Amino acid sequence: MVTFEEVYRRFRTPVWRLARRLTGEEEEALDATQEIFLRVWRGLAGWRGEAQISTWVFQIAWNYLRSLRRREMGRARVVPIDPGDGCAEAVTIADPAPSPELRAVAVERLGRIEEALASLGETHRVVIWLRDGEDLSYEEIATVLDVPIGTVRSRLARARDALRRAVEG
Amino acid sequence: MDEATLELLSRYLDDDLVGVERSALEERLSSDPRLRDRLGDLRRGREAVAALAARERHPAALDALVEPLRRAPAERMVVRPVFRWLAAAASVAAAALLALQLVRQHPQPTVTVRALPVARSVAQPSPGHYYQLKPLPRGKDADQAPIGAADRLLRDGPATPVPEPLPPLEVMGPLEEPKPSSAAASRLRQEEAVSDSAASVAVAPAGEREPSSDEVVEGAPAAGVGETPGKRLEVAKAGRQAAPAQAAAPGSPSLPGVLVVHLTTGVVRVPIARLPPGASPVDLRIEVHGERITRALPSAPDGRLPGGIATALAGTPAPGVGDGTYAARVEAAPRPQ
Repeated sequence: MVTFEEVYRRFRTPVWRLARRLTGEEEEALDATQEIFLRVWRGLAGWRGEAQISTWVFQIAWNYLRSLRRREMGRARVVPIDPGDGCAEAVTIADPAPSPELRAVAVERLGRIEEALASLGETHRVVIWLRDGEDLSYEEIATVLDVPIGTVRSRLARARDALRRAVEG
Repeated sequence: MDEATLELLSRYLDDDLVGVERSALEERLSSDPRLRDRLGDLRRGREAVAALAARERHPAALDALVEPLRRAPAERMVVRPVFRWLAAAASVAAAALLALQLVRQHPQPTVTVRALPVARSVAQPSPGHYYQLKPLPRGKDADQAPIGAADRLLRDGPATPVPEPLPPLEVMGPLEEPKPSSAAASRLRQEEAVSDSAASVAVAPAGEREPSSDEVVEGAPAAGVGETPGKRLEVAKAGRQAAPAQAAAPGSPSLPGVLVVHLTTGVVRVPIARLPPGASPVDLRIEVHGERITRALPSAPDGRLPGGIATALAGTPAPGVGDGTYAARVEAAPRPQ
């Protein structure tokens, strides 16, 4: 029997990151994450382990974020490009001893990636994030998005190519 | 680049290709630098997204927001099917009990066939409710005693055997009688006029007029009959129409079967057209809906009673009796001496 505390500790960052990617705003992502975990808390007693806990939690998150996006459809949204304080940590992870120039290049590249991600459509953004950002398998992504696995393969290929084109400008 | 090749490259990155597909793509990659460049671009994008994800941590504010949920006990949301059924059954039972309680608190009026005339009389009062009948004068003779007293006498007094069968009563015939001669027609018109006069007496409000002796002879209510104002019974045309069938038993001292009387004004009119010859004095006993009336047959020079016998019914008919058609039993019996 998994407890809410365990689920929260394990998924709070992935869920927040997904919310951040799909909402584009930190405040909104915070509210959305809180709402998602409220739903997880309510549904946890009924979770019987038919699916993996990761796909179950991401499914709740995706359904809520999608409904949120539908409600706010038509509202212009600009995703801020702000590497923030955590950027140096990310670069350090990628390169233990980067030079200032390399760090600047890495920050710039991450900024371009984030901007390119934000320019993608929602279906492309979520599939590329679940696979490359959260490392979910094709089967798990198919379960979360409730689409056939072949759709995941083809959609992911197109999303990656779109991201490449967006980064190249 | 076509989508199939693009998908192969994407799947190759994720190590999703196996067997022939993988070896075929690796062979193409070794011979196609453009394909290798595209694979490199996709790999860099993949790593960049992973790096972006790796640098992001949830804000500390999230823990504060979710803290109430972390401290709260898990909510039991699962309801087993059996409990769902039980809940549905309980809801239905509760609704049924509520409906039953409402019906008990506000019962529907139960109107039986027997009570219908009462209900109708309440909704539409009969003429007896409109006209306050004046009590008829009390007489000294036995035949003018109140009907109730006469009934008691009949009930409690010694039974008087009928010495001999009386000749049959002649009952008024059907409405479509054989065409009479001119003299008979003239007499018939006179009789009908008298009959109409008696009928008007029957429906007239009490107090407007007192019954005269002529009216008694011609069939109006006898003087001194009854003290209690109440409904009146009248044998109207329905009785006339029913009479011939009952008159088909000659030699009987009584009218066999029943007469159909129409209870309208509280006057019983028996459509006897002719007295039995030599049968005086004879009492006519009429029973309508449990009310028994004994009335002395009036004398007539030729034995004819064109208007029949009309007499008032004292007292109020049984509860539930209103306007309508009822059966009347009429018989003639020698008057006790």
